[in-house]
Amino acid sequence: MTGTPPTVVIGIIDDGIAFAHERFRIANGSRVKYFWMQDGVYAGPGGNVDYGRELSPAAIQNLFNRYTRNDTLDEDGLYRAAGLIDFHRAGHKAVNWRAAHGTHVMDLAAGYDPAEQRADRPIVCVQLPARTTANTSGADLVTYARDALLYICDRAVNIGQGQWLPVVINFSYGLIGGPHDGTSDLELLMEWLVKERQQPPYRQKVRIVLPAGNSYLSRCHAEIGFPTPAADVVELPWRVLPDDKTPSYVDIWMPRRPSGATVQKRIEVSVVPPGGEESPPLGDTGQGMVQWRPFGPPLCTLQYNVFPWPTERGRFRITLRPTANFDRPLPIAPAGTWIVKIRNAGLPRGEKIHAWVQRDDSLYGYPRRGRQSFFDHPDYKRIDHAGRETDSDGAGGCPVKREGLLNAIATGTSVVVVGGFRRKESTAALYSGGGPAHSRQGPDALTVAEDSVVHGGVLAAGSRSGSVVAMGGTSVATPQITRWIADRLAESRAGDRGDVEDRAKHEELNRPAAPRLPARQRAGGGRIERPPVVKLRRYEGMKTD
Amino acid sequence: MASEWTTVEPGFSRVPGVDPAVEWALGEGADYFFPSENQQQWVPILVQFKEEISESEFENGKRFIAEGWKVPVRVGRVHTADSADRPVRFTTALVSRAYFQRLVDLWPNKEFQEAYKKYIARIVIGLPLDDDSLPITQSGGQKG
Repeated sequence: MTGTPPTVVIGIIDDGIAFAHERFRIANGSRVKYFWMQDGVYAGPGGNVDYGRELSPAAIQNLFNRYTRNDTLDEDGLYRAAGLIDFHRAGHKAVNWRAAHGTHVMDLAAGYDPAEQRADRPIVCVQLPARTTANTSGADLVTYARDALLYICDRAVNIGQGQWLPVVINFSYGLIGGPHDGTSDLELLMEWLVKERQQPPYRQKVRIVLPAGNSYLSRCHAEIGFPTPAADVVELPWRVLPDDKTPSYVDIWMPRRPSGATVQKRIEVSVVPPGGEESPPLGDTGQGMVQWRPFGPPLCTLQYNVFPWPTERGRFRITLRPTANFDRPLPIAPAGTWIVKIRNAGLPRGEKIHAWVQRDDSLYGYPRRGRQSFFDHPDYKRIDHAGRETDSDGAGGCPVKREGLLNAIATGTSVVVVGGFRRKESTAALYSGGGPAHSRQGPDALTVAEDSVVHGGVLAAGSRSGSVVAMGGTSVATPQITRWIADRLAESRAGDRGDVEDRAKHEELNRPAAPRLPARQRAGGGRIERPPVVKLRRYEGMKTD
Repeated sequence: MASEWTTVEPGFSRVPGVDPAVEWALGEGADYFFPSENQQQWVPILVQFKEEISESEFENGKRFIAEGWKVPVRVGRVHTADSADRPVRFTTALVSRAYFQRLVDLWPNKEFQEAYKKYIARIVIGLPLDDDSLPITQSGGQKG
């Protein structure tokens, strides 16, 4: 019965959530209790949210009543009435595609056959603004993520009729750029939220589950050190693609300074545009900014700032304008190989500098705007001698690394982080991100992100009832652990990082010796295999229960 | 021949804790940052406090130089269970573009610096929403 143990609220923060799908229903209604479309049309000052549009339990039930005829729900009509599909408004309409990320993820986390009557798994979902999702750099995500996280936790008390029900929140988003030490704004916020909710007056168990990210092979991370104190220069070729309609960024994060140390220059950074003049060097001793203005407006900005709280780490950021723009007559930056030069100016031996290219790709279904730039270093071995893509950094001295490409919002210590593996081959998905990060080794466990090399992705709900689609990536591995954690919380177990890791280690004991588990920074405690939510045998021998 | 590179004085980010991305987002990158010509005014921010303070105190500027802080800050309400008077570590708000310039203008004021440094750790911007998703009109009035 709702509101009494073992009810566990499942929170979904995503995009393209077809909340009326049959997998989220029980007899006569929906298990989705609250739905907030953050970029929906504002409904007026009487509502409970300050922007976008919220659907309350009563509003959802009204929609169900209005659009059910002869026991059949007119899902398209319902979505139009809810404002989820509105072609009068600009922007991507994810739910109108056959496959929608949020629907697929929500099915893996909280989808059940309606006949099961799982009223003990109510759902609160938040659809992030489509622009925020489309902007894969994620730099502007944090305000919406904060509101979404608090919204879900607080609506759980409404569902519990005054009781702070346990909540597990699935947040299948991944970024690349960040400090990777658990101190990005969103990471600090999630740490605070999980700990704050444990205290009175809440005493609410909140678990947040994040993907390890799909960027392991992206060539978006470089680690630079100077083994000798003599002045050295490391050059990072940064390949910026043509037809990239979004800005591109590289962040270079400095190590912390010892407390009380005098501020002395450790490195200098300069940038050489394709066919252009090298920038003046910028040091790490104070704020600074230079701009490349070959024809007037700036096409590239190099800036250095110190983040005074909580680490006092410094960061260089290089910002490029898009390399294409057909919409408006704005200046563009040249595509090609930009050289980022990092000169040693006294960096202590053993200290490392980390550079990340920010994520800038285009998501499934969205118009192609961003194109991912990367470090195109000649020493990076992308393929092995047989021509296969490899997921090993090897022993060479290439500064561009696969390591250190854990999801940049998943390096905090309280969140559960999940990587992906292939069910049939039992090998890690090549793209599945790993550490180490300063604050954690890597993900806590791997679970199925692909059914096999040939059978890509895993099956779950499409955008309309009865449809099934395959989607892959650590985004779809994550909700399988979310579902498991909900069951654990319902059993009054911890359902936290330690619990997930213990489960992974336990399953590893029963696995054959080969293929071996990847290193801990990639695989955490091991592989957890959950039964597929769609009981369809995709290959001979696949277990479906 | 003149250099193609120009040294630029930091603007908004000279105030400690203000996200350096503001320079680009509200400056040269504003054409990419705002969703449309309809909405060029309101920006969501996340504020991280060093000490927990209530959202209403932040909104009213109670712990700061009151007059100085009263550049329009609109703290969002997404909760029903929590009071706006309960201390928090993070809040979100909607501010006008002028907000950041006001911070820069106030920064030479030592009293303001002290109050700011005591409470504010970070101010980060979010991607603006289009006009019809917002509770306020472009001139700052509440939508009815």
